[in-house]
Amino acid sequence: MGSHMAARMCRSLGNSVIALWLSMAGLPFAQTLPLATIPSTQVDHGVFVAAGAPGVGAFASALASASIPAGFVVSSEESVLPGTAGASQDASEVCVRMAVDHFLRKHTDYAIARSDWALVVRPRAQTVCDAVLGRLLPDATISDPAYVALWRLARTVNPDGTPAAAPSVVCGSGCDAAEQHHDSHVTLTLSRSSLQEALSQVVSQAPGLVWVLRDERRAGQTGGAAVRICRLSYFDGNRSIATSYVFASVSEGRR
Amino acid sequence: MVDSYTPGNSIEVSTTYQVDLDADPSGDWYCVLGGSAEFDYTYFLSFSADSQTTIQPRQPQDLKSVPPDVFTYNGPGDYLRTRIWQVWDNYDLPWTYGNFPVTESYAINQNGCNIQIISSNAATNNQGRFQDRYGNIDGSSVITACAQFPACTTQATQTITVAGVSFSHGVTYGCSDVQIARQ
Repeated sequence: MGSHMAARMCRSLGNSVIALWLSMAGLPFAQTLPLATIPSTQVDHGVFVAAGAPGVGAFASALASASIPAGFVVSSEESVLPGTAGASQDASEVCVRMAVDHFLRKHTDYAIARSDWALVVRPRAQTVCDAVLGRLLPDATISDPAYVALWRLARTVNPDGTPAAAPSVVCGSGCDAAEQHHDSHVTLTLSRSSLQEALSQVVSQAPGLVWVLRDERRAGQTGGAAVRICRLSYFDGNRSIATSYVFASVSEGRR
Repeated sequence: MVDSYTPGNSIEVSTTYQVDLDADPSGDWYCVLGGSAEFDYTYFLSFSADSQTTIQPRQPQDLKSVPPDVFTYNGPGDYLRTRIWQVWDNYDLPWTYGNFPVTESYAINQNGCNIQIISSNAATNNQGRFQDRYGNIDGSSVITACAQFPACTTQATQTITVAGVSFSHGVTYGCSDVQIARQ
């Protein structure tokens, strides 16, 4: 009975969410969403709770923990910390559509972007990441652990902003030897693929990962103009992983 | 904000309440109601101040490393350092509050070793302490770049937030050690 009711809710709410997404205007990116890309998966109630929490990090982390492939573009004002809102006492499940709807109602400055591979959330306002996300990558096949594949994408898009050495992942705080989703092997087929879709391919093949691009401000060097950069991080379950990969940068005076 | 007052005077306070109800998702209906209401109250308050204390903002030196500091090293780029932290108050006494939330984040400033750094949430134990680990996840896999660049370093700013109070310091990963420095 409970699952039947939940399924009914998912269908009903899904239609309203779709209508909401399709009705959004003024976004800096193409805004249509195929039905097939809206997850109807049932997830822990904690995802719903996280969707209503302040900031974006709690929801992104909750989606990663629920193995929902997703990506977030985050504005410069937003911190990307996992948060603690996912600890729900409610053992019931909700469908992802409900959680997304809840998130959009609480975070009206964000919207859903079209993606064939993942649930992609982006700010309504323009960010320095917008242009690079739509850039088409050279046709190629990448077959690596997920964290290496992300590095290869960064090297492809902006070799000057990405270290030449192969990456490794280390403890920064309190981590243990629990399962590391970023070790999952992925095979990306890039054929007229945009950066957004390439990143989303990675997380779709490595359940537990959610990519995050953050529009950040860096002070200018030696009195120069400040620079806005688009930097990659990602969630691996409830852990946040920082990289130094800069996909794009713009001098503030030129925006 | 009222800086001074005479006992018996009234202070007028205007408070805005945001009403936001979410239906139980396991129920048959789902709806979110939004609205706001304003209420005006008049409070009649009486205070007595016995002493005045100035609260100083937390400084990086208020977050101190507490022994033991365990360091395991097996080979180039293969190490794991464990450090236990505790916050100290204005009187140089340790915070001993348990189950305080601890969040951490990293900003990588220079990444010659191409290290990606994991962080996760934690909480203080019953002595007010919490543990950090720096280096390889399982202590058995090397930092890949060290084979090619034995002198490489990755410098980052680690920001630790304990119960909403943030502390930042520099962390430098190398192929043979990790250095933690005040900023």
